[in-house]
Order: sequence, then C-alpha cells, then structure tokens
Amino acid sequence: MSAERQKNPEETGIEAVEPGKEISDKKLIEAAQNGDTRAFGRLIRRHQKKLFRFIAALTGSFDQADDIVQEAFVRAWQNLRKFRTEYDFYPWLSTIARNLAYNELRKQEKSQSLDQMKEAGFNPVDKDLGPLDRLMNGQAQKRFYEALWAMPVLYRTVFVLRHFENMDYAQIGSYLKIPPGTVDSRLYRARRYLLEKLQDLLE
Amino acid sequence: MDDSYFRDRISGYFDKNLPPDEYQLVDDYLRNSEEGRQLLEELGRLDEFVQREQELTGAEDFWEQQAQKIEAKLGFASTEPDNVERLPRRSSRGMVWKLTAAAASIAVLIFIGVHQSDIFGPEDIPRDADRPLGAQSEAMPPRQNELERATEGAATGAIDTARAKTAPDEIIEKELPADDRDELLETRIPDVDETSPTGRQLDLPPDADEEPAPEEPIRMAEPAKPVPPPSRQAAPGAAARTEEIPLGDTAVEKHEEFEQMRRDVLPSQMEAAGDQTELAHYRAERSRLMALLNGGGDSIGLVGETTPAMKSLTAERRAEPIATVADVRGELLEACYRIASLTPDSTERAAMVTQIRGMATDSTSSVQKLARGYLDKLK
Repeated sequence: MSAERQKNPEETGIEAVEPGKEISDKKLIEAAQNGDTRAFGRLIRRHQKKLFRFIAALTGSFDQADDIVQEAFVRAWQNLRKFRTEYDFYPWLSTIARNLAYNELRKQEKSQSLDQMKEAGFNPVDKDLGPLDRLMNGQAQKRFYEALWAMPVLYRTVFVLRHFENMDYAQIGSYLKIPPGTVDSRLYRARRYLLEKLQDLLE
Repeated sequence: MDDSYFRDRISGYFDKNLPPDEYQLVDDYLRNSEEGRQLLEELGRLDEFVQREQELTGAEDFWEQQAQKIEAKLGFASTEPDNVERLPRRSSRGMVWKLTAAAASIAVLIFIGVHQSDIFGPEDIPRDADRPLGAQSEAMPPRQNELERATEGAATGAIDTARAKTAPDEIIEKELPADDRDELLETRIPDVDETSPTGRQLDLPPDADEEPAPEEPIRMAEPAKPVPPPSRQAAPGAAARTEEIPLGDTAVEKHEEFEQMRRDVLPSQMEAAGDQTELAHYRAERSRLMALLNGGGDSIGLVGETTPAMKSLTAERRAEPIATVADVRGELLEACYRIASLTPDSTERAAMVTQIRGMATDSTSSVQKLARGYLDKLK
C-alpha cells in the first residue's frame, strides 16, 4: 500500500465516531482499506499486545518478536486490500506473524533435534529473558516463560499454538505438516515438562 | 494395554481431541486409576496457570512506543518520521536570533566606522560619511560588489552559465575570500546533535568541505515509502546546516549575505542544479535497485523472507526495516518514473517508459496499479 493511498481520517469517517467508543475491527479495516492510516493505527494498538505475546512465546526472543510483529503489521498494511472483511482480522494477522516466526524457528529446530533433547534429559540450559524481563509481572510468570523458552522448539511450537492461539490438533498438524498423533505426543511431552518444572507453583 | 498407553492419551483426552472409541477407553481407565486422575487434574491446573500467566503486561508507554515504531515504519503521519524538518527552524529561534543579528549588525557598523579609512580610502571618507549606509554600495569592498553584480545578472537574466549547475555551497567558495569562506563553512555546520528526538541518526550529508552539495537525499526512516527525492530548492541537509548558525559573531552577517544572495540570485541556478542532482540520484538508485532485484527474490511472497542481498543492504542502516521485494519494486518504479520525468534525453525517457509499462502489464507485480498510474502521468 503506497503512501499515495493515505487519506485524511475525515474522508473515511472514522473520526466521526466518538472518542473512546469501541469501533469494530471490520469498520477500522474498511477505513484502513480506504487509506485511513489512523484506523490502521487503532488496529495496531488493539492487536499488538496479543500478537507480541504470541510471537515472543514462540520465538523466546524479544528482538525477534519485536522485528516479526513490526513486519507482520507492515505486511498486513501492504496486503490489506486483499483482506476480506467478513473474516476476523487477528487470525489473519497472526498467520502472517506466525509464518514469519516459523521461518525463524525452523532454523532453530534444525539445530535442536529430539535426540539432542533426549541427551540433555529434556532439561536445556535456561534462557536469559533480556528485555522481556521488563514485561513480566511477578515470579510465577517469569518462571513460566523461562520454562517455556527452555523447551526445545519442536515442543514449544505445538504448545504455544495450542495454548496461546487455541488451535486444535488438526489445525496444528496441518500447519506444521505433522499428523495429529504427533501433535498429541509433542503436546503431552511439553505439558509433562512444564508440570515438572512448575510443580511448586501448581499446587 | 499398559498404563503408558493411557497416560500418553490423557493430554488428548483433556483437550477432547480423541476419536470417540479412544475417548471411551481413556474414560474407563481414569475411573480406575488414581494416578491417571491426578495427571488429568495437573493438566487442568497447568492450563489455568498458562491462561493466567501468559499475559505480558509492561508499562503502557512501552506498547505505545511499539505502536509508534510500527507506524513510523509504515510512514504514517501520526508518527513524525525522523527528518530534518524536526530540527529547529529559523522562525522558531525568535528573539534570541533577532537580538543577536541586530548586535552583529551594530558591531559591523562600528567596525566600518572605525576602519573606514582603511576600507574606503582617504578620499572617500568625506563623501560617504554623510551618506546613508544603504547608499555606500559603490564604495563597498570587491566581494560586496561582486554580490551586487550577481544580483544584477539575475535580474537581467545574464547568469553565468558556468555557474548555472553549481550547487550552493560551491558558489560560496567562489564568492567569498578564502578565510571568510572557511569561517563561514565552519560556522554553517551547526553544532547540533545529529540524533533525532527519537534517538535515530539523521543521515545528514557529508561535510560541506568535502562535498560541494549533498548528493545523497535525507533518508526517511520508513522504507515502506519510496526513498524521497532530494529537494529542488535546497538539499535538506544544506537547509539544516544553514538554519543553525552560531550567535554573536560575523558569521551572522555572512549568513545574511548568503541568504540574500540565495533569495535574489540563485533560485534558477539551484533549480537547474537540483534537476541534475535529482536525476543523478535516481539513475544511481535505479541501478542499485535493478541489481538488487536481479540478485534474486522474485519468488518471495507474503510469508517469505527477504533475500540475503536485501538483508545486507538494510543491515547497514539498522534503523530501517528489512526491505521486501515489494519495497524494492516500488522504489524501482519510483526511480524510473522520476528519471522519465526529469531526463532531457528522449532515448532514456523511452527506456524508462518501457520499463514502467513492463511493470504495469505484469499481473504478478505488487506495483502494477501504481505503474499504470505513472504511465498515465507520463502521457
């Protein structure tokens, strides 16, 4: 979407809506499709938190999540005209982001095989949280994310898609190109791992 | 079936993701297995815990900053990009500037008064001493007369053709004595923090001593937009540097002289020079983009990544995001259009139109529509 397409909010009517009043994604998208940058700004603010959380959980890296979320919104804006407003915006946005993230994760996955995980006793070295630490609220959350990111990518991906994006086994399997049975077993292992790591917090 | 068979399925059972027959089997197992039920409970607690703890909070300004970063990347107006327009402008200096300029003018007048015999020669003193300052131009030093002649030339259209394509800084070098020029050039480069208010580096042009005029345009922060063309009136970097001058010395007066000259003499020269600079810029830009696209990346789609060539290109300017094929195509189209608009060479123009037509007829191109618009404009 070029800069030439950008229009004043007045032209698209979004500003006519009372400040603070919730506007549906659909209306914002329609306005944004007509070039209303402020409408797209609202979509950014509405969905960035959830998207960032999802991608950060998936990648385990603040910088990667930051880059991917930005890129996802850029691509969404560039392709917004193709988007059909009868669908929900977030799933489309998160698919863009997930694809970007998954490309990164595949690289990590290759270097982190199941055998390696077994050798390590499914207990890899804990990751440094880095700037993500500032977004954490309390020790329990910190420990949860530490455990999540310490998990091999293979298992973490399935777990995050299930628990953060509420995808069912068939959707996960179809996306990752693995049978639903494999989704089941990976998810089970991931959960067992977290149960073990977070046992004291779950009692 | 041993316990491990059932335990492995409890996760699927918890998610209600088992075929009906298997679901029933696990259901029966759980009725008789304390260990199985305990595992099921733990999975339930874990699920609740994950739902509760996955929410990242952080300060509100963090999320607002993130949103603004994205908007800046998209080139939205709501977030001002880091560019030279955010540097202090002349009009904003207000009283300090005016007072300093007045003080400098008085100092110059006093200097002239004290040294008038050295400046004008003994025979001029009685005649000019009674005349108002504005009428003393005949007796001004050669530099001043030269400026006036230049002004006259502009008024009559008799501009030195050798200077017509000369950029402003170069003209200063010719117009001013060496010592004064050095001082002016030195003082015209402001002691400003080249970091924008948001902390990004402003890609200011090279030092004026090294380059006569900024060849490089100021690079905006958002590559989603085409690279902006250099301004015709004055290169943004030059504007930024001339806007900021130190206060309280003769540089103020020299700056005024230059500004006067620029207002009266240079517009047409700068127009011509601007066209040349702009054309050269777009030619170079087009070559760079063509090389980039030919280096691969046509297969890149929505979900794909950028090519290594693009990554290395943008790695040098980390403030900017990685370019995508769509970005590069957009910039290439822009460059072709600008060249076609600016070039005096009809062959080059025809080549550019052909290239744009190619983009306009390529249904797979992300810039097809834009290319059609440009073709219409070129007609």
